Amino acid sequence: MARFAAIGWALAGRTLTSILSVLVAGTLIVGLFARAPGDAIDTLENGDSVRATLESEWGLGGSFLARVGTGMARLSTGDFGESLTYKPGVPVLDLVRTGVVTSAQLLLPATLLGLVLAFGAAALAGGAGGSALARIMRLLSGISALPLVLGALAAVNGVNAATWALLERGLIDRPSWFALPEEPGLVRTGLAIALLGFGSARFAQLTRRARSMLAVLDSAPFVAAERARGGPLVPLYARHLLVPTLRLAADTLPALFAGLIVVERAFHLPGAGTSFWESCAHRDWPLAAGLALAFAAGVVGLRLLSEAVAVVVDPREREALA
Amino acid sequence: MTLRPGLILAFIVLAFLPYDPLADVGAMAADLGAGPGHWLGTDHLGRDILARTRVGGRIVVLSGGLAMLVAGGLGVGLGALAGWFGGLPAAALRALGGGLSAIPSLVLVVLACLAFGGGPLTLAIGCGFASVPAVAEAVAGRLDALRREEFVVAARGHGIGNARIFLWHLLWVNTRRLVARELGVTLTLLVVTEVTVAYLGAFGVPEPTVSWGNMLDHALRSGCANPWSWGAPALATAATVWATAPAEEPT
Repeated sequence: MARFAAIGWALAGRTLTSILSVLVAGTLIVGLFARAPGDAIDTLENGDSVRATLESEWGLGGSFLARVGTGMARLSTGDFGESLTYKPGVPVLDLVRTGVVTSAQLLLPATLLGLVLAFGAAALAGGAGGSALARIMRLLSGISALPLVLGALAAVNGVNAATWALLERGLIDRPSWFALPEEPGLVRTGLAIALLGFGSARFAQLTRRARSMLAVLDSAPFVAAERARGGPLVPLYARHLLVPTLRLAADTLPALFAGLIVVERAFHLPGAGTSFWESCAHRDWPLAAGLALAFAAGVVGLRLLSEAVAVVVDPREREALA
Repeated sequence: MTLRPGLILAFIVLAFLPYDPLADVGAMAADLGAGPGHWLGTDHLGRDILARTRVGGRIVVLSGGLAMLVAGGLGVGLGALAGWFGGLPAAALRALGGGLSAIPSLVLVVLACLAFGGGPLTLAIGCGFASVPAVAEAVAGRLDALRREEFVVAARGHGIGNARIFLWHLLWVNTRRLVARELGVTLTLLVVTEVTVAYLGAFGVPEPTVSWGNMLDHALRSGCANPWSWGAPALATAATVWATAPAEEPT
């Protein structure tokens, strides 16, 4: 009983740390927006004439400290307000929810793709490393260290140039997605997922971490014992890789969110990344703050989840906590 | 990754050779291809691309240096305090670092640019702050693991003071490679972020200061016929990222 209580207290402590982390992130986000010169009214054509009315209605006036205080008080009660200029009148929570759900269709496949490729590459390139396949995987890992923006540029320009060449020669009809930036298509979404999963040094980092995870397991005594017994190794590896993989995903989530802004802009895809950038451009602080906080809460939430799963599935973690 | 000091020195010297961005403008020499006189050709304003790519390295050196200073100074300081004392300082660092690192670095830099205005200084400080949690966590973890080691006890037994053990034996001897690796990540972050914000269309380094990000941005927006106008800064960015991204875990 005392052991369970100790685990409970430890988990409660981590939950408290996570809540504090979200509060720190929220304060920083609200503080930076409060410090930003100008506001949403500046972006309106008749801004000067309606400033007096809108300033009180939108709660934009006051000193820096007053704005931070008001912003944090509203966020702590779950009042995220409404979008001011980007999607006027729409509740921020609705926009954040829609953006996150839309972006999840890129994020989840990209994360899976990155992990599968990384573990594949780690398994292939982790041994002696003399084979041609191992060298190719290492080269891919190096290429993935290039900035995501260059990959996006190359992909967009390459696909457009190739399509244009085929169109000019009369080999294909004009595809529906070609030169129509507002219409997301399969090609565009696929490229965005591939770039997000592979690019921005994520693949290189993932492969490195996956290699060290596999190396630890390869040399573990319980794996040697299972191997000696002739038992199935895949379930054993899967069970022991679950927690480190979750931690790995949590560690790379901030980079994925940053990449999301780039690829959604580059491929003209809707989602949280596009909404964040557009809301910043429109000085729509409530929406931008809501999205930034959603990114931070997502990262903290996944970290906490990985800790909780570790306690549930890994007896060593339980013992350490108890 | 092993960056040779000679290579770094050559990069810095080349970047800081004299160049006047305004005198280089020449409408008669716009969009020239690669050839003698202009080895990578010229851009849409007739400016020499090789010279501008070379000078673009100044941002890497200056802003990158400042970002590393911020990340190293704050990160090592906070991490050392948390690692040496443990307990409440460590818990506070976890909460603070957890909050700061939960915000994606690009989002943090964009917010900093909104608050303080875009430009190389904000980019540098933003990237530096974004890297503080990683540096602090790495240093704290290493010191926490080392402070109860036998060699520390032995050093105390030999009458060596805590300050010397802390600064020399723990910080300098045992964490400098770790810190160097994390600062390499900071430099990579700065280079990538500078190009990214320029590509996204706001907060980049403004003209007439030369940066690889604004070269890339102008080349793409102006539709310059010379492929080196975007190829040269793209290659320079890629090579720098390649050179500064850490390859292996430090020892």
